Amino acid sequence: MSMIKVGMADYKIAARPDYLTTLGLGSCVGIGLYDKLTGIIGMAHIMLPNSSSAMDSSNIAKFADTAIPAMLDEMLKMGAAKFHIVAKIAGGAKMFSYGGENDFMKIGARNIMATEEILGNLKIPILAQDTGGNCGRTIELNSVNGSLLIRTVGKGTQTF
Amino acid sequence: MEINFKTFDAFQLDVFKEVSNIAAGNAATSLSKLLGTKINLSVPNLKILEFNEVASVLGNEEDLVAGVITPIVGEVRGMILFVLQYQDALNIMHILTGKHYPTLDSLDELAISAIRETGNILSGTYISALSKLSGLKVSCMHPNVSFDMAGAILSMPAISFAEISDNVLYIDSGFHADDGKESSKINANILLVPDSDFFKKILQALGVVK
Repeated sequence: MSMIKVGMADYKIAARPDYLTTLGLGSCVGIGLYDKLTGIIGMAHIMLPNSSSAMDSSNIAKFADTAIPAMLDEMLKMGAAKFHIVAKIAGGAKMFSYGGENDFMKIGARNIMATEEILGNLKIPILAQDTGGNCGRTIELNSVNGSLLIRTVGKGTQTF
Repeated sequence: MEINFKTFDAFQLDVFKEVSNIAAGNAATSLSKLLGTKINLSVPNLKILEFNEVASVLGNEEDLVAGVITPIVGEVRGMILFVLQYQDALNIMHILTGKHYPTLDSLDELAISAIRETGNILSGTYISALSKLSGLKVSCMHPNVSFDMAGAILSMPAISFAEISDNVLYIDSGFHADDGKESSKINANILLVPDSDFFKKILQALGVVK
């Protein structure tokens, strides 16, 4: 079993018995996809909701709207079946809160909304989610049983 | 002419390092006055990082750190992030309040404001030096504090860059206070994260470029 790390603005695919992990999610959202039957898993660490508003959208792993479909495609190519794929998501926190609200500080909430919408359009059910709030999260997706472990500084470790 | 951190020549880079050094020097003086200790300053480091390197700029992504983030507004824009390991933040809280805070749960409003004010004073001095040097009108917005994983805190400035670039520029100045006692050792960093036309405006104001 190995623990494969997914960096910011990246996604990776793995299979049983490996794990995928991403460390210190703040306002970014971590998306774990799991095929119950084949044990093929994918994890994305997106920074922004939409590629359409960006001046530089060459890195598709940076945006929810491009990363999730691309990751799904790769999983399908590896032999995953769409009907068996479920999602678990975490992150989208508001790490710093300012007196005056501006769009930048709401980026976590926008990332969550975009992620939910894109998974909805792809008809991938979200089985568990630990999003929002104001704490950073580390996540680990287990390819054997599809469980998502979430570690935080204040609330300890939970498994979804 | 397009001027950004990717097209810098050696001279422009030196000018910017010197500007950062003077600004950080002023900030170190105010930190020294605030804490009543001698502060050593390291030469500013300009780091152009890929997003996946950002989280580990100060060590481990999951390290508990204290961060004070201050948006810069005015003729140039950007962000200043004052960040330090949690233990060092506790030392600052102890020096300023006289109280011990053993755990994250034990932090009270006083402890948090000690860190916020430290960040505020450092960022404020840094920016006012930058403003004086360049003649540009620049000021700081209200600072905010977070105690959390380094990765989560450092990703905030990175996100502000994500729409325009695949890299982030951090100008990193290190502050070190060490009088031999473990309880007053402090290593802190100021990261200046400039907006895309920040350099051009500063270099123009200094007369380095037209």
